[in-house]
Amino acid sequence: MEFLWIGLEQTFNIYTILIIAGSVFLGIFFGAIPGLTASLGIALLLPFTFGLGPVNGLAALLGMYVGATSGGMISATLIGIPGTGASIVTTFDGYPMAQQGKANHALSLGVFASLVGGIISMILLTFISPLLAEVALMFGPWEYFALGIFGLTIVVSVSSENMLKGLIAACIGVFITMFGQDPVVATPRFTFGFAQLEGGFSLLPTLLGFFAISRFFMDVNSTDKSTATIKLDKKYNIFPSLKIIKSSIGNLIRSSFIGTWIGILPGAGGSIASFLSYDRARKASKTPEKFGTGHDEGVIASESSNNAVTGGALIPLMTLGIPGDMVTAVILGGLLIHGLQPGPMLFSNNAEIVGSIFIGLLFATILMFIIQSGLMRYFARIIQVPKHILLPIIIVMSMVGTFSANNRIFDLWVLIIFGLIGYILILNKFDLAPLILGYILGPIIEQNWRLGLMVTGGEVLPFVTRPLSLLLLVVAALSILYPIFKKKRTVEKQK
Amino acid sequence: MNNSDKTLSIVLFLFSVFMFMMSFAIPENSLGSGISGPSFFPQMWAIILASLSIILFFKSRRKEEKGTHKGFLKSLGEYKKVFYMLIASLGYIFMLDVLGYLLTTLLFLITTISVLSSEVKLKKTYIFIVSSLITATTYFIFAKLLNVFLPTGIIF
Repeated sequence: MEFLWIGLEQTFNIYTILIIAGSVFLGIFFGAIPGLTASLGIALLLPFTFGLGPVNGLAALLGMYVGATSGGMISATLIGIPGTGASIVTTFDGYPMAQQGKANHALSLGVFASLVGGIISMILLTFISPLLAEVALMFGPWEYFALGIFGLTIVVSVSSENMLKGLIAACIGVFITMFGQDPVVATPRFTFGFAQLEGGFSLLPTLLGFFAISRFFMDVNSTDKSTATIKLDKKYNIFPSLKIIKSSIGNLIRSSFIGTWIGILPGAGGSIASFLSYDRARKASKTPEKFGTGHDEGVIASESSNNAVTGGALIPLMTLGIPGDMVTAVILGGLLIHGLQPGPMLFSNNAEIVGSIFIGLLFATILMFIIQSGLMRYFARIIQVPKHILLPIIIVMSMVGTFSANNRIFDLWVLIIFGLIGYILILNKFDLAPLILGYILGPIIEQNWRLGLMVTGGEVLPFVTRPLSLLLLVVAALSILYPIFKKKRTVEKQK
Repeated sequence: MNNSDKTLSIVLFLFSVFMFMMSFAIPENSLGSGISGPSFFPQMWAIILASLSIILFFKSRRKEEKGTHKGFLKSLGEYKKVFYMLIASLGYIFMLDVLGYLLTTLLFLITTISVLSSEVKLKKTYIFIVSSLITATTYFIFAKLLNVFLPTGIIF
């Protein structure tokens, strides 16, 4: 636990805390506005963390992550539209509560539950990840190859409604990484004589193109609509009453554990975690019939679990270097940009970074609680910022952010073209999460496949004879084949 | 949408065939050739993508009749704003090197905000003031606070 002290030393200064506070504030803003997500916020923030150095830069990204995850509940409660996918379940009970004139009560419960969920998951992260990192030190390229395939297929099977389209999206994502120098011996591929293509399509234009620009094209036609919000009354209790806390301790802890666990699993994110915890809470409740009508327990279950995902999702990212979902894929990009290679070696080589990520996450969670408790009345108004002003600002930010990384106009063309491709894919009901994961995992898969072959002199067998590698590949195959098999059976039954 | 699925699957198929053929132009490396060489993965993924797009093609053909047919003009109207925004973004990139950040951003914001708010009918002075404010604030944040290099253009 020594790295926690080092982390505390690194992060406990007014400058870092101000950076975290600022990014948490921005994060809440991103979370609260429907259509702006945590991954978009982090991607937009990414280029501006270059100059901050690794500790402060990562602190800013974490602040954005925590703020956006929690901020989604504001619009979920006040207008019944979830600000981010993770707060869909909060609309079930939060919105009815607000309609009954208890908006403040719902929000303060949600903020408190977010705090508890965040802290519990941060504690679990601190205990689990060093252990997992030690196990991961034994991994060879064979296991990493299998992990990459595993991560990709799980994301496809969990996150997309149409698996075929999910697979195609993942393939497109991998293909984007095929341009430019290959990851092992730097042979230029598919450059078509363009010098600019030798570096491949870099991270920022790809991320921002598929997140920000495609989102922008999608939202262009919905800029004139505005929704009525429920006004807040003046009284806002920072802490819920002792009676409520006492009666919901079980719910809080259970939901936080579920959230952390779901966060660790690849593919599943905040929305699945909150659905599961909500379901569990209803089954364990003495008054299950009240769920969905504006019940305290529902808001608590949803908000504590979706915030607990943050700590859980960082576990595979930091110990294995494999992102489990879209947000951590973007954070992985952040680590790489600062010259850090996530994985088990991070714990021995960069203990100060590991420690400051843990402490930074804790600070972000606490600051999220303080900022939301203090400024809730203002955030409630933010939801009404008109889209026709917001969207152009996001475009300008994406352009400047992309440009600032390499000072290349070429990257801006890539940004717009990828945005257009993303828009066409979304219109055709493709999910972009597998695409981004494909972009991030593609090089990992290829690199480890080829390293594995080089070690054994071209022998393919170790990929299927090493037990862990085999297990991961089998699970990967099942996650694709099982849904197809199940669908066939239900079709046959109907006949 | 099924009809466009079909088009998309054809485009993807052609793309993967093209990439498969182009992958033979990748020079082999002494450190790895064949299945551990630099052209193996592009070829594998091209084959996978091609097969997936064939499946998508036949799946979308089966459901074709169910698709609703919108009037061509109506669907064109839906994409009108998207098209304007695309032109505006491309124009932004073109002008950035010529006019510099401040002027290009101001022009871009005025155009896009006017197009996006066309149904709300905002006052022209309001749009101008909002755009100038945003340009000035972002310039201050990017250039002064974050020390980001912004294109200055030829004129200034």
